Amino acid sequence: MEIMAILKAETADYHVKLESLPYFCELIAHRLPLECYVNQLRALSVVHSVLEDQLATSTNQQILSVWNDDLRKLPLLLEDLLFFEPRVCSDNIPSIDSALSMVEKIRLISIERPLSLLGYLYVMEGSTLGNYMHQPDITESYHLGGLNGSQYYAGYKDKVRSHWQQFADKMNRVISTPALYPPIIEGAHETFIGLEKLYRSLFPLKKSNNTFHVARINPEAGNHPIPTDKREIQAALNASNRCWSEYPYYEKRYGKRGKRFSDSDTCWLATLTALDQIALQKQIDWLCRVLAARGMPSLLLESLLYYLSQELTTAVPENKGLYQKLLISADRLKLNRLKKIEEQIFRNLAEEFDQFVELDMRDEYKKIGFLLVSAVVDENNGIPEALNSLHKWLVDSDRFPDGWIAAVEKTINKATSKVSE
Amino acid sequence: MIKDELYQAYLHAILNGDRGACLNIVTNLLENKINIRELYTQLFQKSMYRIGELWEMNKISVAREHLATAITENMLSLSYPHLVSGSQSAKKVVISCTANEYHQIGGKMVADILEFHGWDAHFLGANTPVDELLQCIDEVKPDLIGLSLAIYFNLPALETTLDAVCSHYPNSDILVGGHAFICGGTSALNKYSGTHYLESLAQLEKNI
Repeated sequence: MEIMAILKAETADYHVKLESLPYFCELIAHRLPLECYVNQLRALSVVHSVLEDQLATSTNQQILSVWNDDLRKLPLLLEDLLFFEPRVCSDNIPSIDSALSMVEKIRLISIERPLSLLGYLYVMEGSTLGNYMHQPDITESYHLGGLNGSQYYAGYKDKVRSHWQQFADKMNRVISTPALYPPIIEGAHETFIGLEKLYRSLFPLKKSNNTFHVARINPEAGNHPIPTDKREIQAALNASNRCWSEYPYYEKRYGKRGKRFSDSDTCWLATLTALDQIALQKQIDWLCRVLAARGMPSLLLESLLYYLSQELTTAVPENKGLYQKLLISADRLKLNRLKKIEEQIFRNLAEEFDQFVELDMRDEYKKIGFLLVSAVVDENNGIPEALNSLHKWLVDSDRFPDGWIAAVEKTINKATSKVSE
Repeated sequence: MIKDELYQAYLHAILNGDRGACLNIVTNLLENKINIRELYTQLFQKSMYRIGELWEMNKISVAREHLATAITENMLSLSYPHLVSGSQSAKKVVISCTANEYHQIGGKMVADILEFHGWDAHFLGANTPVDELLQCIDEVKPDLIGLSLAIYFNLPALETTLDAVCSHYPNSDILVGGHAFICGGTSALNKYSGTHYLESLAQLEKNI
């Protein structure tokens, strides 16, 4: 028997059980509250974001043969969530917790038994068939025009059957040995168990305070705090946007996924204003090390903190005193950055980089010189990997011409000799 | 005392997600009657701190860090049968992580060490809502309450918990500890009478 036939037989009971849950009964009867639907999208965005990332980065041969980027559903979920953003739907913590339990498992199996990821994928791909059937229910229940807010349910649209067939053929071809079946079947079982818990928590919704969960900002962010005041959340997002505009390097290197992490991190930074200055600084220093080791020199965090303090003060002026703490912290990062190199020298070195590179590259990657010098200082200040993590990306010959790479090396060498003086 | 060679072997195994190798090392140590505190601090705690550092330096992924946590929790369960020391102190303790705190290994270790010394330990696990903690305190009537905080940004949740516990049970003895305080920051606890900072498992054993 082929893997797809076995998976179908193995999960048949789960299908029936899931479809009979109150959530789906209400959906079919067009009585499902919008909050339940939107929270479903939020919870599924948590599951899809991690599952798709693990599949896309897996080195397992079978997964590489089955997975392709066309199977991603996260972009559809994010589009739907964006559509509903103006309507205030509070976050349902139990369903997000269920989604987080699922992704915890997904992360573990991605190392221990990666083939199980294909069991998860089987179930999530299979759900496109049922979703397509339910898409008109969504449109009608919430009086939506076209596919607004229901892109995820529409999925492959009228091509859903042929997509499923292609997926089935590929699975049967790639997973051809019965010895490979057990972890995939186990993964499919786990997915249904996780989804049942998730959907049970989506209807009926338990009454709760109007809480914001970080999953609404970044489905992959896990479970860290964000502000409870919507004005502060918006201010944090504005600060993140400003920082990304100032440093195009962010977008070039980290893309949309990186932006979501920047947004959620900035929201978290806003919550730190509740701490005293010493405790806040400790958190900032920790984040500074974490980011610098991932290619984001401390100058970026320093800039972000200035923007965040400004944005928060504008949004919630009555809390200006609290937000001052972020300014103090930014000043401290600056002081730390300049303790080994004078500000003017730092600036000269950074601006000199632009003289070495072509004009179009200079505009496209503005302020790279500043990041290079900052990374050299960070490394010198004892942050491991601060320079290497930036350097390796900026000297990638697939991405940059020889002249650029030479300029990067030259700036690093000059900055290194200056901070060592 | 766990030799560095053995620690390195364990670290290598846990980083590779090799449960079997971890299991062998821990089983051997337990069969050779390793001191439980040494096992906890010199193997479990030390390796998890190192794994945290490696994640911080971008040397390992979140997935690998989570797997290491899951393996450590398995290893703690393995140690459980060895916690029965025979002595019974008739004292009771309730240990909990605060709301939103999902790192439970530290709290579990404290509960286990107290269990080893004959205490009746009630460990409530990660992310315990305040009302559940109060309910448990009401039922168990513990001699000691332990609160674990691994991530400093959860400090406001810890303070909410302490406010509630201190107002409902003003004469309680409360211990607070965890990785969150590794670089200081314990001054936040000063306003709570009967609340003490627990620096290490060694200090716990000394003061039991």
